[in-house]
Amino acid sequence: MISTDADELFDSKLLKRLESLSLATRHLVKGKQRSERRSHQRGSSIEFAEYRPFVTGDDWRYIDWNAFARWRQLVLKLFIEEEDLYVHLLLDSSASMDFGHPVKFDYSRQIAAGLAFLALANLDRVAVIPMGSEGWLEWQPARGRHRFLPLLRYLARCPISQSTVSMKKLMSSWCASKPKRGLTIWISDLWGSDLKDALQALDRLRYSKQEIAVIQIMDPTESEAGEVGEYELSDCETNERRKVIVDAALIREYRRRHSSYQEEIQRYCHRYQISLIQADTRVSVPDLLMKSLMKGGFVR
Amino acid sequence: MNFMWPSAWFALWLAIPLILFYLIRSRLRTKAATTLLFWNQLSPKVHNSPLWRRLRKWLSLLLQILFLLLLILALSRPLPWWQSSEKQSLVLVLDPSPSMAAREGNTTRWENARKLVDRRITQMRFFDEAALILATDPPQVLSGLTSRKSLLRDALESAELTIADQDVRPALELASDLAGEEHPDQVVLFTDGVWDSKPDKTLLESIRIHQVGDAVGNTGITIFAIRRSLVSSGDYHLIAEVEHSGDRPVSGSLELFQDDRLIDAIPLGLKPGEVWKRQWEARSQQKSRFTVRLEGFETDDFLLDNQAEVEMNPLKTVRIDLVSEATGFLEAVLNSLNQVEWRRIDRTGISAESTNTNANAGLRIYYNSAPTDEYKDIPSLLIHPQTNGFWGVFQETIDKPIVSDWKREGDSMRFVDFSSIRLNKFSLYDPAPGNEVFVESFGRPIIFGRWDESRKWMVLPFDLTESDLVLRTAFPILIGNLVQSLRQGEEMMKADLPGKSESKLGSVLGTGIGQIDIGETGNTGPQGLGWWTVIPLWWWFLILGIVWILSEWFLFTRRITE
Repeated sequence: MISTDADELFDSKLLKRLESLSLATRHLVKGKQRSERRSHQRGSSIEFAEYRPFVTGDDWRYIDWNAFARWRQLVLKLFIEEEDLYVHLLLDSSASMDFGHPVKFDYSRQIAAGLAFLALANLDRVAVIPMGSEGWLEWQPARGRHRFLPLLRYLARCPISQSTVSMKKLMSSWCASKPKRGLTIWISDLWGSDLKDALQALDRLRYSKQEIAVIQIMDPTESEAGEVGEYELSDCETNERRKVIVDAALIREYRRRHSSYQEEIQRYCHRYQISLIQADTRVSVPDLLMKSLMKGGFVR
Repeated sequence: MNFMWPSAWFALWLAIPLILFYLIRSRLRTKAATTLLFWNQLSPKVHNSPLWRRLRKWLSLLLQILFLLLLILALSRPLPWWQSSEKQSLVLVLDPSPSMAAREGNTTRWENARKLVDRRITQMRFFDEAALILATDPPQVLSGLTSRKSLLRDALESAELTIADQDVRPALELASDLAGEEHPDQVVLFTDGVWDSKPDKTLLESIRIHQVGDAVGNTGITIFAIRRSLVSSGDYHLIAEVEHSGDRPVSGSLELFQDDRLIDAIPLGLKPGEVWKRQWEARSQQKSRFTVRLEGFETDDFLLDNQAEVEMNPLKTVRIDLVSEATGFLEAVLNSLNQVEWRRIDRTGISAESTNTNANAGLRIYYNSAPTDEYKDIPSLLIHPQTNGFWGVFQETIDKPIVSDWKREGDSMRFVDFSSIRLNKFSLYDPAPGNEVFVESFGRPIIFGRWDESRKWMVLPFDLTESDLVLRTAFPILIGNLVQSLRQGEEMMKADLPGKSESKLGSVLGTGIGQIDIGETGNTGPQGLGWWTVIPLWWWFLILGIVWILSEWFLFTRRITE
């Protein structure tokens, strides 16, 4: 059962760890301050971009008078705009995330909160997009640490989706909304409608020119077929039922196929330089965040 | 098919909870899964299970119900089709004769017979009853007809072997009476068939016999006896007899001990069927214990006849009261006899003496006097009584009679020769009824009286001085015979031995005699219960439990492995 209480989900201990993590990141992300992020937009930074002729309505403060003296023509001096980093946190809210101890969705939300905290602390803009929760509005990009508490409340209220839409469709749908380019962190268990679903969703994400990082959430019981015996399995998302007889051979085969799937995800991410962390829910969220920072793949 | 406990079939209701439990147990546990991706991939492997795997649940249920049926079947104790469900009243007769002590491997015939009886008791149904009789003479009823097996087992426990050969006939007759004329076949005799006296063939044919023991050879002492000489007091004779009933010659030795002191050792070599006999003569007035022992013979399965012991009593002192005036003839004779104490009592002294004193007298000799009726029970020799009394009525005096005949047999007259005895005269008596004439003169009784087990008195109706009897050997021999006959318990003393027929260990039961169930099991006869009833009930539980566990384990392991 997922938690909807912000105080319960993000307890003081977690927040304290995030605070200390934030202090640690000042060293880790040194030199990657806001001013160093260059944008294609022209703005008011100190780095010269180009001249353009003055037109009515332009701010006369940007007229380059030296150029007027040389060329006898009013031109504006344009500088490269330094813009905020957009961090899109794609949060898988499918029914398969409502599983395990701790519940994978709770764990995912804690990770999302941690990443959001770090991003907000770095004055980046953070957006949270629950993947699959129809009718549930996404958290619009916001910046500033003061937005952190509302973000926590938002995450706490975020529901589990009962939708059975494939990840590929959901990702296509999000990409069609033309999100700002930035860092997209997909927090999901990557269990799709079929084996290729997750990879196709990543394809869509990749085509949208996003910088991608993936945190795959795994409950330890998912990698095993379970104990020997006869069971009726019920799919969390589709409610499909299947009778199985689990024996030693089947356990081995299940383990092999699970590993194969994970390796395929790893190969894909490696090929397309996508940062991937396969997170076991037994690892604490701050430790996981530290690991991600140490790896330096997607938090800048 | 009949069942001894048909109520056991009510246990079939157990099948209902068994099936319910099975259905509950066979319900699949529901387990949530985040994805069925991998299970879908493994689907062909899951569904391509072999037939046995798909049917294993039903097979398991079938096995369980089958085991339940077997269990109920065992509990209900089915009877074979030939066996009726009517109540049986068995009369179990156990032969305790000494030959039953013969070894049979590691055990004895007796133990085998007891096991058979115990087994037969076990086979009794709850409504059957049985009695247990020990085939002694007279028969011992160890237990009357009862359904309680514990009582019968207690009675069986109390049964003991006897030392002497037993006659089984009285026990069989008693058992037949108990079983009734209509059910003579319910008399079951457990014996080895080694009998001295064989029962009537008709009786044997009507009863059932469980024979134990195989015919084996044996070398044993069949006779070991001692007796004091009837003629010469103090002398004794010892006799021993050894018989070999095997089919091969054997050799060994016989050792004779007197009071644990070896006095003789004789090497023996016996052929099949040979009887060896030896007699020893010696003189001793003392008490002695003689032991004879067979040594050095090859394997002998019957130990009871390998040693015998007999005890010789000391020569008994006989007390004689002489009721007469002083008479040299009688006193001389009495002095010459061994272990005789005598005293003379005058006529007046008799009445003055106490009854006890009189009772202690072994023999009273009245000379020229006669006892009154109150002393007629005391062994008495009346010489010239001159009066009437319990012995007879005086008729007349006969002069110069001639002894025409006399009794030559019997304890009192043995070796007494009256052929040349001369009498001047004697008193003719009309002997009282029951008297016996020992010496007569042409039909007229001279010496008469009674000298048997019940009464002992003899009348010599003549004065010793009026005959030459006292000068003859007949007189001391006669007095000696009378004294010797009073030494009770000095008859031949025989050692307690199984006897000739027992030592042969040969069964008199032949084929065609009786309904013989030969063999150790003894439960294969048409009246016997099924073999499964011999196995205790808890064994059935154990066997079924093991089979059930093994089968379930097999199914379980097949369920979880490839």
